[in-house]
Amino acid sequence: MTASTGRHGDARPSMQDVADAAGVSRATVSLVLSNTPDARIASATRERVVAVAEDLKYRRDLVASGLRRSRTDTIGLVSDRIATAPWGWAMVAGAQEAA
Amino acid sequence: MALRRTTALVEADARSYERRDPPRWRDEAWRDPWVVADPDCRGHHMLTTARVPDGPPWAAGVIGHAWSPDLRTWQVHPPLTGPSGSGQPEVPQVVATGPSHLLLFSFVPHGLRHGGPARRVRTYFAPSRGPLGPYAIDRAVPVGPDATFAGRPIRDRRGRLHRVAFVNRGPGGFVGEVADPVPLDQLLPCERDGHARTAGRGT
Repeated sequence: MTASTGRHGDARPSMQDVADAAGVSRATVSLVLSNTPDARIASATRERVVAVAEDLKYRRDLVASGLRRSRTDTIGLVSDRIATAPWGWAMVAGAQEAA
Repeated sequence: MALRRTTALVEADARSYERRDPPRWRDEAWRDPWVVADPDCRGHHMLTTARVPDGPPWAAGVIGHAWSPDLRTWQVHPPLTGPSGSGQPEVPQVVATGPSHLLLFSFVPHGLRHGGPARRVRTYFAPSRGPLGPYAIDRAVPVGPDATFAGRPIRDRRGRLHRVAFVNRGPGGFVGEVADPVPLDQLLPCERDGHARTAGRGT
């Protein structure tokens, strides 16, 4: 099993960790893992980056990604009775459908 | 509960193995010890996840080896395998199946030798005549069609081997459950006289 901490004592592997192990730049890792169209990256390199990311159990940091893109892909619903009102579930379902 | 810091019984020997060496790799490769008795009653052998210091790290994962006469003092020996083509073959285990032995481990194979593009981490096996190999780890084949991690062989009361494994991820993301035992001979690619075939695969 993978050891729990990395170079800075952090539990999560970073994009830089993937880049180091795969022998590519962080930009290349980003392009491969975000499936950026038109990125000219050799298929062997692409395959290696995907494999190393899986090997290191790398997961995108959705909070950091949201900050960078100014978009969290998250909808917040604020109400005082949303859980108990009889129409609460329908409100959530409607919001989800509209999104 | 108070934790007491202890000294490791055995550590990677820098002459044969990579020690923790960021930024080459973020964490220690030498881990996941699996101990088996020597077939000739000469002490015990330890198989570990390990990586050699030469070559690109993403391909330099090997099965490490140490030996002990008494389970207290350990000598580190050279790797039991060549580079796997992956960074870290994890959770190695050896099980005897009739006249042969199987090495089970988990890794993310990539490259043409494994028949296609990178896939998710899953359990693989490599056969051998003895517990110390030789194992053609770079030609290992999957244990079953499903993507399980840390597959472990266990024997039922009648002596039949089963695989118990951790379901890492499914279509919806992380699963994190232990799969039901599956008879090992149903998961290996071919069978002969009740034992996994040991010769001719992938050569």
